[in-house]
Amino acid sequence: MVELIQRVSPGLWRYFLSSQISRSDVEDLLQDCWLRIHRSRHTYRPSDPLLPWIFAIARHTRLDGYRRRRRRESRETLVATPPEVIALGEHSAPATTGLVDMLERLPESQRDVVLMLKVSDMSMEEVARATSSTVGAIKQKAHRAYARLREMIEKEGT
Amino acid sequence: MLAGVKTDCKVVDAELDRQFAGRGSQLSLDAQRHLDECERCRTLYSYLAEEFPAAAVSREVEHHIVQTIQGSLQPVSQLRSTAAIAAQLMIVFLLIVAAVISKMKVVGLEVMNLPQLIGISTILSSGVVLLALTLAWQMRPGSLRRIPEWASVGILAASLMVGIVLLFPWKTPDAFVVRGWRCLRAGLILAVPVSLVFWFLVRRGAPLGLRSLGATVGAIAGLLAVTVLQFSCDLQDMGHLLVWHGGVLVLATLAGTLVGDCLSRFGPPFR
Repeated sequence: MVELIQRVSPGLWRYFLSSQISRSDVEDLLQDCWLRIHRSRHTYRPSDPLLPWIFAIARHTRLDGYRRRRRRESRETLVATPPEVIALGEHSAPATTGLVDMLERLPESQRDVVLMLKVSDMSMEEVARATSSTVGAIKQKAHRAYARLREMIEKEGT
Repeated sequence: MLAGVKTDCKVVDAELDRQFAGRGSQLSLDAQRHLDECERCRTLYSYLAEEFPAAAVSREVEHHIVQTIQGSLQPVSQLRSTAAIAAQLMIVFLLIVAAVISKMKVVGLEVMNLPQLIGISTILSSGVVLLALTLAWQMRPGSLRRIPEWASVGILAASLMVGIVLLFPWKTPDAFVVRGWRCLRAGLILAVPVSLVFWFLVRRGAPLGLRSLGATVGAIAGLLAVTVLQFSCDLQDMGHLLVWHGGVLVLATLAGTLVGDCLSRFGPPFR
């Protein structure tokens, strides 16, 4: 189990980090995700691929985290002028250029598909499993994402 | 510091060195402004910042995860296969239908002719299989879905509508609202406890998308009510079946979606 956590955690870490949130939020999501994986361990069947099962839970952990953050932010009231400093690592948007920047501009569902296919090296079927979708829908999203990326590259090139 | 005043690159270099050495500390606004203006410093900062998140998960976080999980490790009984779960759900559906119909008069059965009976029974039973499979897929994270949840509900609604239009004749409505309202109310009253039963069964798994789960549970509860009404209602004409019986399915699905949506927004996050 320790080996599993050590092997899968970096991938989950990168996955959560792609949603442009702070390091501390990523840590919270990672812990929450492992706790959920642990609670739903009875739903895993050894005959099925492991990564889609884990990423399906991770995807919903991230969604719930996003909802929680939005709820928290909507209740927060600004009591003073924000300090004139930017915490390092608290904002993961250090004006990155290139492919990473372009990926960030894709809709979340398309970005997820590209990341899982190209970064996590999952197959179409595995991505479909992880995103609770069908293979056809994944093909369509990937196609749209590539078209959009191609468009962005052409624009940036001119 | 006034806006627009450029900070020297060497000063920024020194500050970056300081900040990256003590991770989690803060970068001044001047340095941040300089980064916006200077390509060279921005590239350097991007490089350093990219290295930073790519670092491995911290030992403390990993240790905390391992400790929490190891502390609560207990043997669990594995969830059955998708086909077995779907079969269980179908059996529950049939048992409830049989129990409810046994308490009522099966007037509908006497009113329908053979093609109508075969046609509508085929549509209803196909709908049960489809929804039971959809629910079973949702109970297990990472399961491969052949049909999306919304398509399952859509296919069921469409096939029921087409089946009714093709199989049942149009008659001049007689006390259309009064008699129809009675069917709608009875159907919805039945759908509420049935949806609770299915919700309880589905929670044995680890459903993730609560809105789509709510819609599917609502749809299967609505379908059960439609099935009971089909065999117990003496008004077997197109208008009545489409509006009042079909209305039960639509309203139950909408109510389920709404409940699922509320739970996903305001309810406990998981299980």
